[in-house]
Amino acid sequence: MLGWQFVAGIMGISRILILERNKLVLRKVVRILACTGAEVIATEEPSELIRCLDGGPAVLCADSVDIATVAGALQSNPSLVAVVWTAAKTDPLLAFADSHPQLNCILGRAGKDAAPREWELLWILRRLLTGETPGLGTLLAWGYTGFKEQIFTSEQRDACVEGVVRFCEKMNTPGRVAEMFGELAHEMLMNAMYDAPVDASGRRKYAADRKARIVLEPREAATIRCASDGMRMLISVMDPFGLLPRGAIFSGIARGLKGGEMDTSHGGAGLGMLYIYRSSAIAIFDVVKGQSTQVTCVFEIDTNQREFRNLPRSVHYFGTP
Amino acid sequence: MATEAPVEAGTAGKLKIAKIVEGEIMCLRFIGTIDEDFDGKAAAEGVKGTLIVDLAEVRRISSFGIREWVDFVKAVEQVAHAIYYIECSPKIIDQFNMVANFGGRGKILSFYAPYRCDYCDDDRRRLVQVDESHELIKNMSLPDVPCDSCGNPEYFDEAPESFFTYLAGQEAVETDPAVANFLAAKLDYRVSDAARRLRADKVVEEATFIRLAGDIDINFPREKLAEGLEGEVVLDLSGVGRVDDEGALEWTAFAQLASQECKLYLRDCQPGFVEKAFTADALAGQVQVLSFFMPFRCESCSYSGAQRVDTLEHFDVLKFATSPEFTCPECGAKGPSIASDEYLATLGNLIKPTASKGLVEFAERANDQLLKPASAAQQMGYVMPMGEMPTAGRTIGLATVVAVLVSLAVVGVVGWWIYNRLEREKDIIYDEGGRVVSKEKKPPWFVAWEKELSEKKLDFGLADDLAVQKEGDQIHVIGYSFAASERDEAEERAREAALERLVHYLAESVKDPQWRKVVLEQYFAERKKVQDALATALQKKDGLATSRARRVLWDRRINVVNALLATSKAYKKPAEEVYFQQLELQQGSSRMTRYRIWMRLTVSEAEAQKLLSQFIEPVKAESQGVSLLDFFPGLAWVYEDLKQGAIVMGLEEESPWKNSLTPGNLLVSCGEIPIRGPDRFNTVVEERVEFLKTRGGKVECISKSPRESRQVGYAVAKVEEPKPVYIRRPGAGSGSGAGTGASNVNTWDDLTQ
Repeated sequence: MLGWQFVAGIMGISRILILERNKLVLRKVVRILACTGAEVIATEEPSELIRCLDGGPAVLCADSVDIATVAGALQSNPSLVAVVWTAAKTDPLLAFADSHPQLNCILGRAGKDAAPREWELLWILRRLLTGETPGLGTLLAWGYTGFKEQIFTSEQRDACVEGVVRFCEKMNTPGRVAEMFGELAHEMLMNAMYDAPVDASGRRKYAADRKARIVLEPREAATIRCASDGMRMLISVMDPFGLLPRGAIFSGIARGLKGGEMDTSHGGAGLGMLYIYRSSAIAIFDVVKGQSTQVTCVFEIDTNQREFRNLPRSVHYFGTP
Repeated sequence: MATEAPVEAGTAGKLKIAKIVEGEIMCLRFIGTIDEDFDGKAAAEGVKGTLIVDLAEVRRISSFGIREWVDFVKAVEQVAHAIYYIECSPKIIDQFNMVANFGGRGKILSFYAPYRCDYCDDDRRRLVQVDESHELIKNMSLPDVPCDSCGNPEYFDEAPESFFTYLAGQEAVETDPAVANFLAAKLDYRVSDAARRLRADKVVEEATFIRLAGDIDINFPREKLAEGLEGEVVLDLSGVGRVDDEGALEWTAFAQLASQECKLYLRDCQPGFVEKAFTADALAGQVQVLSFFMPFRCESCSYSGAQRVDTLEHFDVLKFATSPEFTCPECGAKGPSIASDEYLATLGNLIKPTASKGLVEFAERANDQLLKPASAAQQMGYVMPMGEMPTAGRTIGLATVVAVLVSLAVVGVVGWWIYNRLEREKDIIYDEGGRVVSKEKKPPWFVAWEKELSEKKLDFGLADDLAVQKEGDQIHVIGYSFAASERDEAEERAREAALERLVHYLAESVKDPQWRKVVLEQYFAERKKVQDALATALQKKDGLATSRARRVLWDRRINVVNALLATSKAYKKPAEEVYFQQLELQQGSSRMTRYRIWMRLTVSEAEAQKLLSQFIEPVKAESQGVSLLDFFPGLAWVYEDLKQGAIVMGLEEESPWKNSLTPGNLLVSCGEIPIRGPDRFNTVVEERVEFLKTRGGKVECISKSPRESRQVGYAVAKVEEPKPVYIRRPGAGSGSGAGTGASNVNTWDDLTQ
């Protein structure tokens, strides 16, 4: 599991291009990204950005209002990797990301005048630039608390879901958030236990019958982590198969958002990705092909449901080529 | 009452589906989690007619659960001719918005809107009726409401534009009256006022048949309904939903009024009506019950629904307040009703029906006609929506004009006759005049008291100030019963009146201003208000208002006496002296016997002080900095359902309750544990605080005042016990259980992989 690197890391990117029309936001983003140690080139003008593109590898960061500029840049510079933030709905960006493999990180931000979350931005850029995979603890403040459990059976899954709800309650999260996390835990575990496991010939072992009570082999066990630092609640589920395709993420969410169309071709309802997307402020998908798939959801506890519904979501995908 | 048959879905038992059936209407109530264990197609089996789906208690729904749900909806759409969703939880509304065809062609009648009070850090749900709030939904805006606990604004905690996506697109729903009735009568579900407004359909032939549908409440048009009734009248009550306390009172007045002029028969009374309106008073006179419904649940197949009972057929069983045996319509198994003891007790008031076969057949025929389209009913007799005037025909010819004039003249004469009759009857029925037939000699104390009342021109029922007399170290309290249909009842009422007066006398004797403020002042105004209402009614000679005011007074007195018996440690039954009168009252063409009793209780001053001392000496909860009093029985005037608790007398400056309690508040529970008195408060709260020290949290009590009930408390910090630092190393194994063990800081073995 160790030793693999992401696309950008392999490509040895050391340059960040930033296109942001809000001067104050731009200034803040530059300051944050300067911490990466990379060369940061910032501009408020799309036309100037084009001049900065020299065909070399770089991370292009921009707001979604300039998505057309980003699209053009990605098309003409295959070595570019894009990071896009948005204060509007994330939904249209998902379809865009689905058709542009160079865009894997979408950051939601609170408003047009607000910069993306500084810790999230830095976390994403660090990963892209270095190819490192930081532990989940880096998504929380030092001093967080949490638990980890391996799940083998359907009974353990149900007990664990209740455990997640209890943990949330213990952390004094609002009741609706606790229930939402219980639901999320169930959804993620169902994916890891029923969708992910394949036999030696690559055929799905349990996907056909979701109602069956199953017992996973030790090598198939799903691992769940749940933690909080009082401000954020995090839940992460990992399976040891690494078969989640990138397309299933972006197109799966986009399909669900389009009108809740179900996809029952794989045994489930095909709404799992939509659930994850709707229940988290930040959803992170880490796929190491053939080794592991880890889905991590972060929720900001202080956000009430009314704000949360309108908050643009962040979706990040990190996968081996 | 509505009955339910819980059926567990799936082996894990995470979802329960309760089924309630009434004729062609079925309600499925989902409770718990809808996930892979839910079998949608199986749940749809047996559904037919109109389906009501109650989704209030759906806690979670998984994506695979949605798949099963959609299968369920598809299956029931094939067999149900209408589907209604009620009390949809926010989680369910989410699914309606998110998932295509989640509800099929079903309509949402009501849903829970999530609300949040930031100040209390509390999430709540408020039920919204779609038809009543159609405009708000269309405008996608639900207003803030005051928080029940702190009074600060509580806001709608969802993004309206996404939450109302589905609802705003749903066309206005008109609830079928049968469904509205089922919801109100079987599920105790509040249907919008418009849907439940009382409606009376009437057929007049050889007898009169009236079909009532809707709720019976304070607006019950008793006089209008009773107007012109004569001969034999059958009232069909199958469409009656809720009957509230005031409605029951109005019904009783109607039954008494109507039964003077006609022979009244009731048929198909719903269980809710039976519980409230099968009282001795309401069934007095000539009121006969032909049939009614009893709640039934089959032990064999879990079928649930009301069973019709023919009173005449089962009278020999019913007169002993027991249930007849029923046959389950689904599986044929036999069993009794599951009616409550209170319900069964009312059956003892039934009298054996004497309706002729012809009348029963007429009622069936008339009912069938009324259930047909309105035009058919109008051809047969006429339909009278309550509160609406009949409309004129489209063409008016000479014959019509003449007919109208003649009708007006007849109506005028009849109306004048009825008015006079009612005016006369009012005095006869509700005043207590009548002829005294008892020969009992008046005791000296009664003679003296009667004389005093006569001098002061006071009615018996209003002699509150004169009801207490002191003689040496003896305290005499006189209670008066009003006229009751049974002597025992009269005696009970008189005793309650006297005891309540004694309680109030004791309260008035307390001089401590703080005590008077926190106890006496809390209920004094209410007591006076009720007495004044009676005085006003008597003064106006308004028979029905008098009857009503007396009933309120009785109820409150009973509350006080019950509280006295429940709380007092020193209460001893006082010495009793009784004077009783038997009255013969004329009601229309019939006579009835009534009894009234005066009871004088005597207690010594020492006994009275002993009784009082329990309630006036404050108990100090040292660790909480609160002085408390025992629940004084007089407070039952304003706390109708309570008999015990602890009244806050004072708070110290350092008290942790200083910001949340005020003197006069009544503490009734701490967490789940009831506070039965001031002694218990300290113990219960301290135990709770000790418990919370192990995990942190808020010690919370329910505090009541006559106007509100709120949760009050203060935060208790977790007291950490020193623990050894334990850091897991890679390979040390996984966690021992989800959230069950102690959560140390940074103990994951591979977070920094």
